[in-house]
Amino acid sequence: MSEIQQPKIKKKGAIWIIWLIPIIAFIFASWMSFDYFKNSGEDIIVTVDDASGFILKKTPLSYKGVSVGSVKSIEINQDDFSKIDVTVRVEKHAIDSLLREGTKIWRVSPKLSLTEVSGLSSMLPGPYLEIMPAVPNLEMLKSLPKQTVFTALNEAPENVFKKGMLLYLESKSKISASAGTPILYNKQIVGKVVKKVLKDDYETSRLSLLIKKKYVTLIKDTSTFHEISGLDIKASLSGVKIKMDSLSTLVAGGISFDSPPGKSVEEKHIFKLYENAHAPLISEKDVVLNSDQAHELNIGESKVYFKGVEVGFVKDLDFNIEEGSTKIFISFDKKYRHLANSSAYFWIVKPELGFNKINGLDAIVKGKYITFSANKHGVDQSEFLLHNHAPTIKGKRILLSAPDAGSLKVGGALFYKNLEVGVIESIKLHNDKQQVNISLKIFQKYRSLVNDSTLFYNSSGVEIDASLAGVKVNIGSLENTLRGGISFQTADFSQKSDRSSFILHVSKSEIDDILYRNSGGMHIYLSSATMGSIKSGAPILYKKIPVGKVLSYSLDHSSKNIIADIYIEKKYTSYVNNSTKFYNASGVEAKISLGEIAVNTESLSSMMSGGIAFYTPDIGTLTRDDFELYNSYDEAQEDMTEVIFSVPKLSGIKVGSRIHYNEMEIGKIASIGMHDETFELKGLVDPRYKHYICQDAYVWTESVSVSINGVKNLESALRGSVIKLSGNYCKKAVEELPIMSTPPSPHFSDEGLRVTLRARRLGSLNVGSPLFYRQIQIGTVEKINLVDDASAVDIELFIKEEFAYIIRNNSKFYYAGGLGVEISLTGMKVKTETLSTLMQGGINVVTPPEYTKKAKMHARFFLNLSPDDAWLNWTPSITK
Amino acid sequence: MMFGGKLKKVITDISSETILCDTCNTLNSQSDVCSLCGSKIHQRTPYSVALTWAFILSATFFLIPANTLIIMTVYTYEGAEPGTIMDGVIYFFYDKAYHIAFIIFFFSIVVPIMKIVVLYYLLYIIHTKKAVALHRKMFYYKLIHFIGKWSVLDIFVVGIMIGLVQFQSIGHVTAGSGVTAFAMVVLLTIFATFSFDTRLLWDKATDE
Repeated sequence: MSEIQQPKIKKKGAIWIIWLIPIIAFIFASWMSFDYFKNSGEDIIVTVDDASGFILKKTPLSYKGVSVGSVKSIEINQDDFSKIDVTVRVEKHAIDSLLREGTKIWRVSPKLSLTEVSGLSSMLPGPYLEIMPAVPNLEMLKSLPKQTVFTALNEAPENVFKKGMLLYLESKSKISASAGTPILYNKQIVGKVVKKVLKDDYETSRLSLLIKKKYVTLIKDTSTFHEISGLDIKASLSGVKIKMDSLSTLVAGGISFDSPPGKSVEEKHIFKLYENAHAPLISEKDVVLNSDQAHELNIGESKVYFKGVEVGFVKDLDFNIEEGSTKIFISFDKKYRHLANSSAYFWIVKPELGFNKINGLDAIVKGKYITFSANKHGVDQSEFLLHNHAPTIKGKRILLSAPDAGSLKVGGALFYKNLEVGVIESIKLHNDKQQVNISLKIFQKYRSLVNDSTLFYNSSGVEIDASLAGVKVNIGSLENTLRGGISFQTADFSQKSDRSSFILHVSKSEIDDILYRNSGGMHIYLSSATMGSIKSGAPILYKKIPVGKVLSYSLDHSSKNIIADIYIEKKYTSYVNNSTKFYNASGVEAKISLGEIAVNTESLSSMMSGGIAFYTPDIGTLTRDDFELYNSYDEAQEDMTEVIFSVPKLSGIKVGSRIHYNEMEIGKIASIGMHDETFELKGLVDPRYKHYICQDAYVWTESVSVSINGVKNLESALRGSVIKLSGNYCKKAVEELPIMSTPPSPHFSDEGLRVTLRARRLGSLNVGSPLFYRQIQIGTVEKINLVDDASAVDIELFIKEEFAYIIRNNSKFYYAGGLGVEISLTGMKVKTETLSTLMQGGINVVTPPEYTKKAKMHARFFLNLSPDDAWLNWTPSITK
Repeated sequence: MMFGGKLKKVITDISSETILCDTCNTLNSQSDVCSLCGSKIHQRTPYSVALTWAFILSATFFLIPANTLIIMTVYTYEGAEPGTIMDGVIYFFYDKAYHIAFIIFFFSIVVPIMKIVVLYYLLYIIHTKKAVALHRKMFYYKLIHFIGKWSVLDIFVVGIMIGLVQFQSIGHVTAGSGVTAFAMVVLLTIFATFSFDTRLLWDKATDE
């Protein structure tokens, strides 16, 4: 190179610094690697039952939510194929504190229950393993040896870190509490159940409780724990009491405890868990009741009361088939256990009887219960007989006989003015098997209420007496009604009381009846052909005032009549004498016409229940007690004239159909009989009108008819067919009349001229068709007959009296009906008479100006088809 | 070596008695200062080989933790999933994202290792004065110089992942200590490349 090369100035000192770089790098890299491997942790093996959901490298080993490791490998346990060995890489920092003897590892998977939503953190990532050391602090941990092989627990263990006190509850009965169930003190949650295990004897459940630290002082050695069921419904007559604890206890139950004065307890003290709040108070010594049957008592529900205080309940029932008896085990309250001693008398109260004072209502709600009487001076005893009834009471015994027991029950009460004065002791069938003997006991202090005049009646059940005077419901007391009871009345307290056996009357009304009958009135016997409105209890009316009653009725075998026994009250007896007439006053008498509706009734009560009325026309004495009962007032009246109408067809006539004379009612049909295919209608006619019942009277029935001329007899549509009578007054009345099928002509009985027209054919004529003179109606067609040889028609005309003079012997008659149509070159001419004749037809009459004599009665004319033109111009002036 | 007999005579700065300015690429006559820009100039950068050695050794040291330590931990609701660079490659490979697997594998594993190997080779050439065609030596150098910067891809990926995947409990990503080591590898190889004076490669050529 060049000679004048400049000297190289080398900074020799700097070169070693360069070599520091790799050294530092080496140290640094080594440290990183070392640090990493040092902290990569340690492997432990956890044997689990179920490794489902575990993911290699991901599934963490969690300690209070912090991941302290993860699953490294999952293998099947070679010793037990049902288990899985999970190798977990535990992070270095956790090794010292966690991997010690006693450390618990368990699998956490999501759990959703009513009381607990836990493991929610495992919902998404899937199950994981949780670890917890055995003891809560490091110093205690250090003394424990290291452990790297674990077996996973099935459920979370008690948390060692939870601040509080761990207690155990043990119970041999069924416990509904489970892990998570709250522990309550005065409804305040003070802890919870952390674990529930069945002990090795498979009977005792052990609950681990964790009581929060600040409540620990509440736990005393005398505390009693019992389960509560959230909802407690107590129904009694005073109301229904629903007691609800916290909502969580409602669904999950809870455990409550009390805190009586006592010593505080150590950790892990074992208490007994009672089933309910009462359980701790229950005496250890059960009471056994022997009974012939179980009385449908409910285990755990049926209660035992002592003077209304609940002292125990039915714990168990044991039916002994061989002995046919039932042992009822009663759990007694500790406080009252001493009452179940030799002085005790137990009996069952059956609510099905109904209402037993006030307790009975209770029993309806609570079911049957057992009660007892006792005093405290007795020898302790634990086995008793359960009686079916309350102990007997001192008093006077009375025997009643009744046809049947009705709804009476042993234990039913005896009432006097609704006051309970006795009790039904027994009900037995009498030896004759017809009667029932009821044995009553009257309480000592009321015994004087019963004497020989006493009447007993069955006051159970509801007695409803509905009449128009009102509805009378006699139910005695409600208690009676439901339970059955006997009441009595004593009419006269001055009487002796020798009798001890009485008759039990069926009802209060029977008693009333007896008393009524014996109140000094008068009995009368009425005989009647039909029952009519005779009914027991039906009123007897005088001027519409009830004065008595129908007591009974019977059929008289000889006369086939009904004999009614009626009773007239004492103060009204003077209104009855020999002339008195009794009649049925039942029902409604309605007079309906188009003009009015008149309703005539006896008293409303007789309308409904029937009744008998009477009237006394004359003053006289009463010497007999048997009377005839007439069907109606009309009939009762003495001189109604009897008429027999005969008719082949009834056409709407019935008993009660009216008989009219010239639209006036003169009588009624009283009965309908049958004789040789004709009906015989017995009519009663007012005697005042009997002279119209003549031989030549015309009788027909009228019912509603509708024709073009109008509606006829609309009234009979409302009131039924009417028998009509037409005719003249005559001296001698007849007794029998036939009924015609057609009504007579309207002018049947009218004075006037009657003429007969002979026509070739009837045309549009009809009975009732008008006869016109100068278009004024002067008469009508009364009758139409075919001539005997059938060659012509005879039309009988009736001409009113005042127009009779018009008809002369040379008068001309011609048809007025129909249309007259004349067609000519000049046009068409339509002729009609009145619209009525257009439809109905009619007859015109003309009389020539040179008229002859007046036509005679029944004169005969010819009916022309049409008038001569000349006739139409006749305008005579006719003198009468 | 295999081209040994065919090597041509090369004119270098030394043979032409000039010095190349590193700053402005002016070819100066032999002097201490660049005639154009006035920068300090050297015929050959002092301590180049030593520095390169230092950096390359350092990079080599970091290469081990970079590939064995956790580079990134992905926390999802399923749990933590720590992974080394190679885990990532395997993950994407099994995920059938072969191109991504290749890119990561190439730039995060192949390239850093290749750079280190190439530098070792170049140093070896310099030390042993082995005759290798100049254009080939320069190609190696240009190659590592060019692809070297792509090696930060992995760092870049981790950085972006940490920044973007922050969904708390659903998923988030944290960097592991492997990243530091890897970054050191990349950085140190870049330093090594820089400190390597390519003119040293010419010397041998001149000797040929």
